[in-house]
Amino acid sequence: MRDMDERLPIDDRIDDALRAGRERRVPGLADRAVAAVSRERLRRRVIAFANVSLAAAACLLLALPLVRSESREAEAERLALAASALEVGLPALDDADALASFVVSGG
Amino acid sequence: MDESDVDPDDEDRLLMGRVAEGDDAALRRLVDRHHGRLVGYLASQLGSLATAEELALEVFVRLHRAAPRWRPEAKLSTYLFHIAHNLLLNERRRRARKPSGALEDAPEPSDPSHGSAREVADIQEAFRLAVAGLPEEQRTAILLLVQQDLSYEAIAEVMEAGVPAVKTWIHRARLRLREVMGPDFRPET
Repeated sequence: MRDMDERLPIDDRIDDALRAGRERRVPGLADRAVAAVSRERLRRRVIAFANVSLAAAACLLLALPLVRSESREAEAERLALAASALEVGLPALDDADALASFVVSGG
Repeated sequence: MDESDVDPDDEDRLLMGRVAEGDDAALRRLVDRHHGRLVGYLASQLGSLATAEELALEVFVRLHRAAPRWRPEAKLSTYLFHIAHNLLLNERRRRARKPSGALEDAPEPSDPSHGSAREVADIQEAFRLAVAGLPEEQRTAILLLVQQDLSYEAIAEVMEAGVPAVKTWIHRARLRLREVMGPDFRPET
């Protein structure tokens, strides 16, 4: 590539035109950024809470036979319930914004 | 010590440490320091100030998310442009999948009420279209070099490319802009 660094007078004018858009200050953007970050923090807390709650609920269901005797049918029913709780709950965690809105709105 | 005595890069490092600890005032200060250039760059890339603002907000949310893991090996501004570059690529992929019409890409309206103002607006618009018509890499490289004063090495880092590739993109962008705008191009007339 020959004369790659050769500058012509038009290059200065092109550079001036490019530099004209260098900075666009937006009043209030810092406040909006802090608000967006606060929403993000809340979303993460909700996800963490939901994860822990869901895991605890499933553990509780699975631990029931330790404290009481039950028939095979009841045990199968309990396992199915634990499985469905996880099955229903986990996909919701993929849509964290919807979950956060749901929890914030009080369900 | 006077605030102006602090090296800007050192201040960025200090602020990032505080952002990692959840200090919103530090985040606010970082946004104040860097958003003007970021929005200017994004607006030049997208042709829409509103979309540029939204993307700049997302850049700062991602910066906050990455703050605990951030290591000050590069300048913070380089890191911010790197995040912005990745978001721009996502935005372009999204637009390619879901074209939203020409309005989003339209420049902010100007009101040239008399001849010379109209002429200036026409020249600016022709230049904006010439920049918008450059291939992605060429446009990004020349904007980061000329508009944002980044070094070739920093641009290579932002674009995850080699310095020779960056130099080639910039050279080609210049050739293209010279060709499209012509030797009589006068942005200020």
